[in-house]
Amino acid sequence: MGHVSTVQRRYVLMGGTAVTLTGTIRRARAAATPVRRWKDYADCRFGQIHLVSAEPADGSGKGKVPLVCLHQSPTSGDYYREFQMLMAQDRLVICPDTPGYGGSDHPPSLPTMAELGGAMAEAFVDLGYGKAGKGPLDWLGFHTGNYVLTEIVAQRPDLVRRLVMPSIPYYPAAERDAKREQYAKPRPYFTDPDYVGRSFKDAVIHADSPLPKDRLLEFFVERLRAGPESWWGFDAVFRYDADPALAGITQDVLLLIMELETLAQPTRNAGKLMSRARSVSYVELPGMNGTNWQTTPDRLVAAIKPFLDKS
Amino acid sequence: MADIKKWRHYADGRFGQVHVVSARPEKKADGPPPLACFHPSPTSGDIYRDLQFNLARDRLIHCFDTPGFGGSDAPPRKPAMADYGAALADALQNLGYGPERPIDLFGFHTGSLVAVETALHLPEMTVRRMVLSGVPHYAPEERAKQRAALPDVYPILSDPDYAGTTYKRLVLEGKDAGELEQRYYRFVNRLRAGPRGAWGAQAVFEMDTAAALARLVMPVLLIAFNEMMLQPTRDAAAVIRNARLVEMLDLPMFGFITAPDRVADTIRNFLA
Repeated sequence: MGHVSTVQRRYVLMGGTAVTLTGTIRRARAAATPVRRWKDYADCRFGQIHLVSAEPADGSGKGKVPLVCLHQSPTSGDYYREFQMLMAQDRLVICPDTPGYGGSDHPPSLPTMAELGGAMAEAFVDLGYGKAGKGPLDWLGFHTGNYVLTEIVAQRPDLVRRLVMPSIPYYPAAERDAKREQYAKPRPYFTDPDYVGRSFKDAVIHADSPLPKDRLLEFFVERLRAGPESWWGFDAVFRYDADPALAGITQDVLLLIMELETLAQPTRNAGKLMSRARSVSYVELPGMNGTNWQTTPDRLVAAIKPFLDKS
Repeated sequence: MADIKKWRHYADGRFGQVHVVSARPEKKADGPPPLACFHPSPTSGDIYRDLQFNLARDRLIHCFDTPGFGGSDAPPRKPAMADYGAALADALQNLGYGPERPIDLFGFHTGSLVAVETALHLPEMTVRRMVLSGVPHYAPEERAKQRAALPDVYPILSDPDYAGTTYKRLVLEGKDAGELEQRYYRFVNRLRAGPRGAWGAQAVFEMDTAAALARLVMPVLLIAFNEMMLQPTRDAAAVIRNARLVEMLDLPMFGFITAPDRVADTIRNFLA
């Protein structure tokens, strides 16, 4: 149990420091560095993985470890656009599309989480990262993205320096089965003539969201791009026994607890399994959910940067 | 059947990145000059999936997404056809094409005029031959009339029923061409272009096609299917100085989808 004693658990409540953080962000914005953003591909076992990258246009981000952001299902790396543009003020931030989503090739058959994580790891080795190349990266997951990440840690730990893990879909086995029944099934694109039109109205036209309609349209399009196999990511999540991978993490971990997410408590529960992690820090984010990646990315940057930048 | 290697990549253009789907024989060999394909609007280079697969048996085929469509960055404001052509000429030059490394061009509907403007923006001798199909070449009065009938933007966000009814018509009822899955992804690309997907058609009907077509000096093959652009394509053949017209009147509008092998053979014979 020697590993357990090395775990430092640190809890931070972001709400109480919001004024200070907001001021910091405003000063940072006033001196904002122009960011260049571009798209690219890398190779993996399923074909090509599509990536959107961003970094300071003046090259000033070279000194920091790049951050990779892994998205939830059924979205794509573009989900992080607003957060990425702020986070990339001082480092390279890469947002890949998980195989089967966005612009990445689809697996030929229903993939396991180990296959999705393995394919993603291959893409970053192809980009030159890892022990034989440019060294490790920092990683951020969200929902499905967290389990793609735990598999990267399990299979290629040399690719991972630090982990930021908001909203981990961690459930006991029985609950996972029930959720797989609920979410992991084909959508009736071709059998229900009204499905697409109805979904469009729900997700874009009549959506109860603070986001502009054109951004909601982009989200909807990314969902459609995953096609009839858009449920494969959910299937991989709810078939995945995360216990061994979570218990095997040896790096520093930051757990963001978004209070309004249904995955707030599952994330806390997942943290309890990280007994071998070098450190596990918790930051509670009152009043926040996934929409905050787009609406208040500055608050998330403020919650994440100190963890990534600590010596 | 030769094994085909297919991959996606980006090239830089004046509006940002241009997305390209390329394919060539798995065993790379010195074949005929590569062929660049430009799509109708509001689709993407993926519309040529089957044609590309056939033609790539013996040459490199690039299928470009026009700026603002598919995976290509959009122009910051409504472009003229010359702007599309200039951006795609940028992309071709950034891929290494020029007088020392010539290329052939193919385009259908909007893509035919994109091909014309791309050729006119490249250095002389860069474009060896061109294949144009369904060329929207109209007299000025007719062009103005058709332009006036176009919407400023597609009502994707203003008409709650637009997406659903368009999906039913094009995908489920098969008013678009090709297999169900192809129609599905073509619909997705239509939605992906967003309300400004209307810019492509606007550029078509704002272009002085007679002046541009008359400037082409390379050999040009015109392929006419049995569709609304049949007569405009015939008319275009009369304007281009070095034109050859092939009519495939037993094929409908998207003949390259319904009969990709026949269309590929016609193109291959001309480019030989």
